[in-house]
Amino acid sequence: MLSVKRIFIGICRLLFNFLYLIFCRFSRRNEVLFISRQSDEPSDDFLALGEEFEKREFRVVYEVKKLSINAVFAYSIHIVRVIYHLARCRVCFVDRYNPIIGLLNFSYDESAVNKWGIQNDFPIEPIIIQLWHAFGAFKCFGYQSIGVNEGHSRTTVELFKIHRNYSWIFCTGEDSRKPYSEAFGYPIERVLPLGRPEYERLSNMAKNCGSEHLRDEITVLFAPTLRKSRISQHPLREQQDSITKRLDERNIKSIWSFHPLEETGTVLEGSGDILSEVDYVVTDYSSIAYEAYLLEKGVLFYTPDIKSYLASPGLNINPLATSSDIVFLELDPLLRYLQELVDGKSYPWDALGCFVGNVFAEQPDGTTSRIVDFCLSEINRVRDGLVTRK
Amino acid sequence: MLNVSIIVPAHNAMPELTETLQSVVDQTFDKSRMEVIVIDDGSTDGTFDEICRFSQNYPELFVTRRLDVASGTPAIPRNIGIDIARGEYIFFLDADDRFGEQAIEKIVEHAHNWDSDVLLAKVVGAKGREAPRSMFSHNQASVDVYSSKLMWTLAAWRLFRRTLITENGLRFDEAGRPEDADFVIRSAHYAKVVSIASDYDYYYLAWRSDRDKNASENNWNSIGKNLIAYRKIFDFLGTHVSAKDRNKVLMRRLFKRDIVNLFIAIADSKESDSESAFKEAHALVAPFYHSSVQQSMETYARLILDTAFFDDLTTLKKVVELGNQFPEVCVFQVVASRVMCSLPVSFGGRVFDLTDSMIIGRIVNKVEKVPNDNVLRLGGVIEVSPALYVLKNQVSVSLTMRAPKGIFEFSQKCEIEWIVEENLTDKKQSYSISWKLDFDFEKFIDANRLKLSLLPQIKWHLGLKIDCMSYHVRFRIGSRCEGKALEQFLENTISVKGRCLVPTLSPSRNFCFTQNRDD
Repeated sequence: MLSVKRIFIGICRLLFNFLYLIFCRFSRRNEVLFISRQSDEPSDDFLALGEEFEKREFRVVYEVKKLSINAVFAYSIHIVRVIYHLARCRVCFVDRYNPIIGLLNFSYDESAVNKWGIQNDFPIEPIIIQLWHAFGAFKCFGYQSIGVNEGHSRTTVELFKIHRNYSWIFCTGEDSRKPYSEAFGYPIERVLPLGRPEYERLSNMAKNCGSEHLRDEITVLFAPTLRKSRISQHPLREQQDSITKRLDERNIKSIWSFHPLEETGTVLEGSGDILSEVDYVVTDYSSIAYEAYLLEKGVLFYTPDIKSYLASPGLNINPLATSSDIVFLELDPLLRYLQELVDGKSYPWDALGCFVGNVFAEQPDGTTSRIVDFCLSEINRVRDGLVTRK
Repeated sequence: MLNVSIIVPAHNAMPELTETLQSVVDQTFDKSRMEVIVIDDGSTDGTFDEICRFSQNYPELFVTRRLDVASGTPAIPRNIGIDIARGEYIFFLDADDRFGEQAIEKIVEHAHNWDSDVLLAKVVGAKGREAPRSMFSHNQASVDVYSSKLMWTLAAWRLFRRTLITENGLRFDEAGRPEDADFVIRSAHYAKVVSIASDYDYYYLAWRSDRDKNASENNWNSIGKNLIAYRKIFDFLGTHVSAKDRNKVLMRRLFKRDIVNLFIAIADSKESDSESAFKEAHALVAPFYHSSVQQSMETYARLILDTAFFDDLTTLKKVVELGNQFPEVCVFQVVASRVMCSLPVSFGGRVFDLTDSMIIGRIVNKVEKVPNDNVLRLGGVIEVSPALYVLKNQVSVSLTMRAPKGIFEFSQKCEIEWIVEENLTDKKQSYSISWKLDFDFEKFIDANRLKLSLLPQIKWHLGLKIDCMSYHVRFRIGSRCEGKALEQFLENTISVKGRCLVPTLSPSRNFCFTQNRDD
């Protein structure tokens, strides 16, 4: 089975690179390409950046398509389009791992040699930027969790060349640089805390909404993180009905939002918008905790499986160590705490602050234009011959 | 014949001067064969009265001079002392330090026996002051100036043959600060024999009651004078000493202590000309910042120096401002067996490879035989880079025993404890691992499985191994011991299954066991 997979990937690589070489006969133009396989619609991050690039007279192309077994033909066309635009654009943004990027060969920066990291190739044409779809790095991912249930196998990582071919990786603050560099396998100097447009958007949203809401009842959003493996525990999914029932009895409204890549369960689009409507968020290990923090929503961690989760996939920040006041290992204390919040107990914001740390740089304003400015300066560096091609 | 002239420059040196001069007159050495030249450097307290009191009590011993106005540097009184000294040797004693009772007797005896031109005698700290220790492991009749640890201290408290000074025209630097480093470096360079005496506590190095008066504390408040001194030193080293020699120890010392402090002083300076001082210092020392020197720098020194050499003054100021807090701001990672440190992007974002400077020092402080058992209780302290402290959850320390060429290696994890201390000398935090282990040779090597009787006579080297994720480092122990650890080690032979392990020292004085038959 493995060798079939290997042959298939080998053929794909040859084919992709052949197409790329042909498309490279067209000249590059001031084009920015956004690729995602998360959804059929561009994310808010992509839209904000696209708008800013348009202001700088760039042609903006969104190639976003959710990968589906049922639409193999449509997805094949999508792949060809992506390769064509990769040959023509100057900058490309991705928001998660994309196999097309990993399998292609680009022009690389010769001077930037990563002697000790996993990844050694940093494309200069086009400049490829990983704008990770989540804030922070709560749980371990990528190269941090190879060979565990919740991570990739080493064979898969090598076969698909996971996270290969990023010129730069952006994060929102200094605290994310180390986990990102480890997760993507890049030297830390390739991880820059330039932010995400979403950071700017949510910060503005918080400013405009304010944090005080007067309501008759409180609403709690339950947002568990994705479990990739069927054998992993998933306490919130298993207890969803019972939690909902017990909260109803206490007159606490609950909304559930599972990860978009979960096979079953409600998925709500636009987490920021949903967050603005709720009072508290209960999660296990989802980075929604950071978005909630930006919108000044109290977060409670329900982590009965933390021991096994620390082993697979692992946590970069252990909330038990940083903020034990808002971590619950059993359901009854969590529900009691929610009741106390309803009854007027004040939420311990310091505990949430300790969890968040320096995940966000101080200044959210101007994030979008800062990112675009950086891309333009990199394009100019390549154009002016300040970067040697490998 | 006068064997030794002791030169004591004194500026407002009371009340410490009394103890200093008393330690001189209490010497066991024949006073008719020594002279004490005390130069009052324009003191305004009771220093000169005290000098006169001693001089009246010991008129044959003391020669005194007085400068009407304070010169501002010990270099001038020391140079005056050199001009009037008559002894075969000269020793420079600071007015706040003191001798051990037999110091001069033993120093002169060693100098004669070893035919020393320069002799550095063991210094110990007093009144809370730390003294250099690494070079005082054992007596060394003649050391290689550039590869030994001699140059880790560049202070003047040592014995010099007077003709070495006069024939080479050596003078303390009257315009620069520090005033003594150039003198000490040149004298060591021109000397035929340089010796180290470590068999006695010769010289007690003390803080003054008012620490602000310590000359070494005030070395960095005049950048202009610093630049004069280091220009002289680096010009000499650039023209007289090969790069290979100077990079062995001396450059490491100069960069780690002096140049780091110089750049910190420049960054802290509120003077308008700090930018030009920065440029001047950069141009002066950057050509000497060789990669081998760079890689040997401790974390904080590396941070300061790399920022100074590869970034600008604004970034350097930010990094200096971090001070002791730097481990909280920097990111430490182990990447493919290398220990990397990176500064935040707002601090220049520079990345450093610290792999070669993880271990700063190690000392064995405990060796005891467990009563009624064939077990040695070993313990010690390893001073490490803050990088390991930050990654401490991943750090383990093992005692290792290796046969030559690593044919066999056995190891066992030690019990460890982390110690974080404020270092009084450089006011920085130090990070250490205290380790201990009951060394049971039989269990250690699993003597039932390894047929000792089949092994030839073998020398086992004791050492430690630190593991932190994919980073591993091995080093030997024993060359620095505290208390009676060395004696205890050498006294305890271990017997196992018809074989005995005889404790010995390697040429670099690390702990070894030679495995012999019991008979």
